[in-house]
Amino acid sequence: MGKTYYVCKYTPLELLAAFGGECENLNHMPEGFDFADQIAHPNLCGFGKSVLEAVLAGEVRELVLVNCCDTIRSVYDLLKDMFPGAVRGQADEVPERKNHAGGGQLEFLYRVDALHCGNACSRERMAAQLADLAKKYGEYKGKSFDYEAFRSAFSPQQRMTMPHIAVLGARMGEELFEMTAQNMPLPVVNETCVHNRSVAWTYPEEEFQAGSDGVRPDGHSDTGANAGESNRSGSGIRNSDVSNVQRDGCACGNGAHGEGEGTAKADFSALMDWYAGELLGQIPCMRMLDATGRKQLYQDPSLKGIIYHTVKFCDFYSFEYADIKSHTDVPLLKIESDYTVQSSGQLLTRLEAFAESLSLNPQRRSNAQHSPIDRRDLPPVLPASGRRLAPTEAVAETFSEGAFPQIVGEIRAAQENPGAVPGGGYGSNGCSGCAGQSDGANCAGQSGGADWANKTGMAGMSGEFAASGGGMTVSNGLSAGQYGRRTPHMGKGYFAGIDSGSTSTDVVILNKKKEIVASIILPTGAGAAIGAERALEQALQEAKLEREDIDSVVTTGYGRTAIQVGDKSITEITCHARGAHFLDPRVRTVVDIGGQDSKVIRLDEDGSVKNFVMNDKCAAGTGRFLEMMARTMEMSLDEIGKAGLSYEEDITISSMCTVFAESEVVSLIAQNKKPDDIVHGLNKAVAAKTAALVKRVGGAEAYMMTGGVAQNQGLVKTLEERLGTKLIISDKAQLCGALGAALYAADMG
Amino acid sequence: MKRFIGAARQGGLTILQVIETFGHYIEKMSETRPAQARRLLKTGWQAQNLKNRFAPEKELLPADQYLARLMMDMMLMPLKKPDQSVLVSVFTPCELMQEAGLFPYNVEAFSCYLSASKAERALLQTAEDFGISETLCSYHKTFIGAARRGLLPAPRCIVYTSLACDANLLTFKEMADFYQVPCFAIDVPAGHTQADIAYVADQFRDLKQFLEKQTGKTIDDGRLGERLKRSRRTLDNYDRFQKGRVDKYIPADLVTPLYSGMTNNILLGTEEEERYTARLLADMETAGPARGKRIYWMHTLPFWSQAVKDAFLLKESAQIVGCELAQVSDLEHHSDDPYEDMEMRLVYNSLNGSITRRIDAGSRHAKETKADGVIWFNHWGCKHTLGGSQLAKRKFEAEGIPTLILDGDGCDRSHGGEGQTSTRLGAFLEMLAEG
Repeated sequence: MGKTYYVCKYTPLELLAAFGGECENLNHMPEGFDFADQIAHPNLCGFGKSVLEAVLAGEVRELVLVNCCDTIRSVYDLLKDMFPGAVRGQADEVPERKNHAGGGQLEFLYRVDALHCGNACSRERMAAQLADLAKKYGEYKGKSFDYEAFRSAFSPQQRMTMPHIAVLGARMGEELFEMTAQNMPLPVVNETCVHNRSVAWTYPEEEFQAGSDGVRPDGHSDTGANAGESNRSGSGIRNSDVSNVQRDGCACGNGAHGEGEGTAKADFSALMDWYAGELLGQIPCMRMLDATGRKQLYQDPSLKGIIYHTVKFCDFYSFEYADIKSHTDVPLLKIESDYTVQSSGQLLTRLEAFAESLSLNPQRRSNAQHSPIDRRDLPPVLPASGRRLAPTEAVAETFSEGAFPQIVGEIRAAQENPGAVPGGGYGSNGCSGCAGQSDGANCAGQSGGADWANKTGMAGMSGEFAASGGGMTVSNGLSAGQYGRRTPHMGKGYFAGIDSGSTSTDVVILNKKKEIVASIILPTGAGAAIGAERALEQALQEAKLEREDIDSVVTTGYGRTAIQVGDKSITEITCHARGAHFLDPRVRTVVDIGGQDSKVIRLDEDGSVKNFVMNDKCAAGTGRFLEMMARTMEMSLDEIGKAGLSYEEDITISSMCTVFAESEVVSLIAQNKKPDDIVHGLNKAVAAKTAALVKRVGGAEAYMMTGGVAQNQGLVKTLEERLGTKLIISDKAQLCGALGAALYAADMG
Repeated sequence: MKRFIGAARQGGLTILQVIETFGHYIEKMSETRPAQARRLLKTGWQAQNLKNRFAPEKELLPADQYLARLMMDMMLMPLKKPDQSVLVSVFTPCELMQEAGLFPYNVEAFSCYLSASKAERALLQTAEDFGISETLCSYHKTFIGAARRGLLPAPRCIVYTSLACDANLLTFKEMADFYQVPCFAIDVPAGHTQADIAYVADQFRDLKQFLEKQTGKTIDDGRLGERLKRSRRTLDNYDRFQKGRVDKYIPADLVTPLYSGMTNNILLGTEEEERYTARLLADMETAGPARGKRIYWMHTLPFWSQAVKDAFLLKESAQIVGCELAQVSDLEHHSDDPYEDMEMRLVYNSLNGSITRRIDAGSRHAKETKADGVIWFNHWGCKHTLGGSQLAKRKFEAEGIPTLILDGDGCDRSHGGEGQTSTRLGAFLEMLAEG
């Protein structure tokens, strides 16, 4: 018999341990859902599918679920149908098994029907469930309840008291968490879903006599019916005024253990009653009717940043996010994954941009002349696997209050096209789960236990951390060799920025006076690195310069980490903001519609990122969307850019999905609608999507539009109408990211 | 606006244009003038009610014409008398609320009417802008958007259950917080043990106290018992109608099956709903013999979809002969105790617990109406329906019932894909025709 896997914090792990169970949180993010998609709908939450995938792939033979949500209800239904014997604790005979591609075999399957409130009546029902599970699991394991094993399975509760960043929301897979932790400037604690389990041992030991006559090997008490049957007397009310939510509004009088019976000899039922109370008394998850206890997760004074994670097709946590974003002053980033390793990699830009924002405190900003921290100069931080950090394990820092800009960044997983970067775009940050897709050269230098401060190469940064940290150690430190970049050297006072996008690679070269001496826009082609080299060479030729004349090079865009010629890489969020501010200091909102994604960035008066938001994973509202529609209509991008200006009929394309929109366009063509009218309908769809992003980020005058789509006159006009304002379109709109990167290069001196 | 009314009066606008323009005005006006938008919405719906009364869809059974009026009346109540209205989750037994003099309305029905008014897009966007995920059920998202835009006045109170879908656990708490109104939740276990039954029944007893406190009205258990008996008669009538229509041709549109779903919910317990089911039985006697293909529909219906209208709207060639949402109660389980009776409607609801309950109930009801096929509608955002769809298809087909899984959205037109819907429905009906 192997491990017993679980998915929910309400799972009675200590009870399973009492029967010899070795429990493990099923938290691995798969590469894809090849097996799961054969039996489940694609629009099921990715975590649910990852559970199916693990079982079908044969990685899980024992599984205890809780009816957390509709998805897990479905997962249980599907597995129960496929492995009926597992519900009885038996492996199915081969003829009984349904054919499925993975060949996995489940031997034990149980679902705890946990209710949605923590009152005494609910606790009684939970205690009854625990007794039932104990019976079935004990029979399956062939073991009796071991009180000592039960008691020792409780682990001490510790909460992080040092300045830290918390990941909140829907469960985050271990691969994504590791990547997140490695890219943040402070310790990161996983407080998502199952990870904030907090069941403590508080049972008065004298009340349970180990080996008591009252406990049978099957986990049942000889003293009578289980607690759920014997103790109920009152109501299951949860009757609350919103302003005065009661944690326990139940009228049950004798449900609580210890009320007037503290001196009585406790039996297994009483123990389970107490245990049920402990399980239900944890920090509630969002499925509970009363979730007010969750406030402690984000009202923690040592919290310096929140990364709020949601899983696509899991709706529970978007409500909490909506609440938090309106009520917290703590810097906040929202990311969404579909619970695959691939989607995690696509989130790197958002995480890096957030880390840059956190690190750009006003003092450093003035000292370092807008130099953001290169994430590779910072330590990956504990913990690596999402476990709780004890205070003594914490990487100690003394950040002063207000050191972080007040940023509320809402970012959703966007298609960042890792394919544009050879070997994937995120491997260089040492995400262990992404090894298969990473750039081997960049990852090769990883080693443990390095002192990061000696390797930063950034005086401003190392000073800040080293002065306060002292004891900062790194569990998964990066070696200096990882960076693979040339050391900044003395050139002739020229600085280059390279923006490696999915469609084009742009280069800007500045002189000491920050004047543009050369600019190039080339198609990215097959590889980001080669494209960047080529574009830089052409820019140098245009400026009549040699490579040695360049003091420093900063890279940005999707391909930034794959480009070897740079001294530093910075996200396009930060670079676009910088570039836009340089082009027109009045700008407070940048709308950038690129080939793969669209983003809206809010700037402060210094040109620093105040807030930003990116489009969803799908291509709707991006340049790619317009490109596909142009192809459907057999028009060039130039033609589609002008066509929408002279429409007659106001057509609405209702489908926001690219695939459905294409189908709608085909229908309109079949109805002989005029191309100008259809293009205007498409422009309206993109403008609506973009305007929603602007609203979400809190857009303010003046607006600048950057990126290649800024050349699309029809769309610009429609977006202006939608926003009710004029958009500033610079003649350098497409160079904005590269310009920002060049400005950062100039800061490096 | 004046131009719009003038054009409408002169017959210069088609019905579709009127609805579209009406929805457009609601969307625009609710951005800045919610009170006016609310008045316009109320006026529009009252106009629709007059149409239902004086120019009903004549092809429908008289009983179904009556039901359309009942529903419109119910949906107008939260706009006309918000302080006497109670917001409930779908399938929450409403007899206690009715006894307390409150008018119940639910998220799904109200959002359907907003969608029928073509006002849903801006409301969905408002909810998403607030931070609500785009994958949340569009009925709930539309409702949240309407509330946040001020299109919907605050109800007196909120009562919901944990039954049926995750969205219920989220939306009502959010709405209670938004409106700052009292809220009562009923927690429904998946099991059927005596302890489970008593657990829920006790919550209904507490709900009585909650409602008395909110309304200042005393609820008489004797009257409540009589109301529950009426509910029982209503459900029995509807069951007899479903079984009796097996050899009959009953003209069907796309909204009557949804209205019938309210037989289990906000209308159940009223004299009007019992009258409706009695009329149904009478109308059935005069209905002609069965013809065309007969479809049993699982889950909600995209009433707005042209592709679905083309296939089923008042068509003799193919009709929807039953809808899961109208038959969620297990009539074998009932009690003379009114509180236990209400409790049993929840615990034994086919949407409670395992998906196999839904599949078994759907299979039984489809067979009772001699359905030629089942359409399992994967409403976007309904994880329980999506999650069980492949299992359902396999089990229905094992029972000899051809089954189509149809992806779409009951409320949000942007999740349409009309071309795909049309092709799938067409191919399914062709397949059934070939036998």
